[in-house]
Amino acid sequence: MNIIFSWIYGWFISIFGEDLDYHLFGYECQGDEFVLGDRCLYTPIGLVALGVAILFFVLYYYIVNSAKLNRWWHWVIVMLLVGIVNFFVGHAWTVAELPNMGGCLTVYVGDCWLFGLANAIVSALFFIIISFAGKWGSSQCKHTPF
Amino acid sequence: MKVYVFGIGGTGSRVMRAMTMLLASGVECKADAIVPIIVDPDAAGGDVERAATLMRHYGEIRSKLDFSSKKQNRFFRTEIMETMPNFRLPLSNTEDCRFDEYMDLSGMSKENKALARLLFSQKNLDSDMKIGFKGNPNVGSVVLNQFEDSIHFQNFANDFTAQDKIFIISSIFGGTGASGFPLLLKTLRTSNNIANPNLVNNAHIGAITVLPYFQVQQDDESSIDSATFVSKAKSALSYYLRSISQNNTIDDLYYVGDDTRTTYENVEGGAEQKNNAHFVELISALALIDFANSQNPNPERSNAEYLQTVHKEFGIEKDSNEITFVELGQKSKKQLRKPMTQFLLFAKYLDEYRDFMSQPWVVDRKFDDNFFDSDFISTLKTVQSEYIGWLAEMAGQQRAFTPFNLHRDPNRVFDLVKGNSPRGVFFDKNFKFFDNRLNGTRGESKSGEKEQQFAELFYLATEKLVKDKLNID
Repeated sequence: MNIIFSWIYGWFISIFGEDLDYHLFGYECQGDEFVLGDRCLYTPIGLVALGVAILFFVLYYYIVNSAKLNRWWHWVIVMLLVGIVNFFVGHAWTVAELPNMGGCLTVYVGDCWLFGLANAIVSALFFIIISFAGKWGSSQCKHTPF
Repeated sequence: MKVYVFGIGGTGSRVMRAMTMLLASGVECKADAIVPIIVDPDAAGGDVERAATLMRHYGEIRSKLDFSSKKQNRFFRTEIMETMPNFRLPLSNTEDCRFDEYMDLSGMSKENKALARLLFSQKNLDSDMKIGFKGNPNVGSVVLNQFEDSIHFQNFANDFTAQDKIFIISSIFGGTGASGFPLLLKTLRTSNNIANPNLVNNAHIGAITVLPYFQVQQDDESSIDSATFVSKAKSALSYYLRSISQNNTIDDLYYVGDDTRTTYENVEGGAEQKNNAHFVELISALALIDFANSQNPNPERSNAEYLQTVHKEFGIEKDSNEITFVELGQKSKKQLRKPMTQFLLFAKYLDEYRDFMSQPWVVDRKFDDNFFDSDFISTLKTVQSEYIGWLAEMAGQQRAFTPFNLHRDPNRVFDLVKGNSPRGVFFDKNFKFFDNRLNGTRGESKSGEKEQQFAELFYLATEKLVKDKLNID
């Protein structure tokens, strides 16, 4: 699972920077050296992103399941909500990690905001995949977004 | 089993209009088919034309639908067969002809001429046959005494089977109906000059006699004077008692009338004679359905000793000038409330709502623009618009039948049935809730004919809607 989530978030390293990637992948500073530990943060962050995407999917397609809210732009709004929630989750999670990063990694709060953005994109991708896979059982939204 | 329905005069046509509305909405009728036969010399009469056009549209819609046993749709379920041109039994020698010419008064002997002048006023003799008998049953009784000679009447007798029934609709206070009913009944019961005389003579025959329920404006130029309606009805009733009820020549005889009467414009006939719909006509149509669903009280006509005529009248639970479903008796309420509400919802959806093309019920079944522009939908909308108009007409009468709130407010779609508040808190509201139920209805297989899928889907969805929102089942 670490490998899968690291691979997915790896697409966005250019956004939030290599140093934050090292830390989230599990590297720790021991003096000036990098040592690979067993604490890969991509997995819990990714699982939360996936969970939020599933939660919003179930809410939209099966709980609310509304004939009034089944146009493509309603779905886009839900996807944006998923992204916004995970944007703040990603940002908050990485900001909380700043004190644990050690002196060998240079990570700024701005990188945390950018990771939040990457997390939002990842969660939106999850929401898109889940929507297309699971929309068919919804009576009102089976053709949403198209 | 078919029910041959003879609608005599203007009232006959208006009751047929009501019957068509009830059958379109799916009111249960146990007959496989209704065969309307309009008997009215006034071929251009507005009421005749309106009823015939409506029944033709009904037939066009129904021809696209399938009613095999697995189908649940009840809209347009009972067949209305057109066996005569424009549903009319043509009357011979009534066009472009005055009554004296019809009788060949000038060719009569002096004695016969004197007798004719004794029986008919000069106004009677000068009257134009093509616009009916204008409230003169004495004229009608001469002109209508020709059923046996009609090829179309012979065709009716020829097609008649042992299971079939006959129902006659007429008013008692006019000319055509009052004179036509006893003559027609006599022909049906006694004529040997028709095909299948045994079957027709012994058939299960019912009739509704409509007592005065409207009046016309006083007009000294007109032959129709509503001051005579009650006296005419009385003398006709006395005649019916002697010649019909006491002889048991009819199996079921229904009476309906109303002493609260709307005043109509005084029109003798022709296209202008198009009276607004009235509750009494709806009740008369219900009498026809009651008759279609009933058993023959005289299955063996050969034994005159045991013959009986069943007389039926209609009443409402509570006297009111504004009748809603609440004022109806339990049986009528059960018969009418659900189907009429369902069909009104169906009509409102197609008439008032546009934003449905992206809904799953449309996309899944590939109901495209071509389908919504088709003759089927256009005819359906015409009938539904007539239905709403028919309800509005009844609601505008002196004694109004007004069970529905006929508004077009998109925010109060289910605030529809008077005395029945919409219930339930749902996320989707109004027409979106309608869409919700359409989307959630499985209905007809998606491979069937589109028209059939459409009707089945709307029937099942409106059935759920009236149950969920209005607690009607």
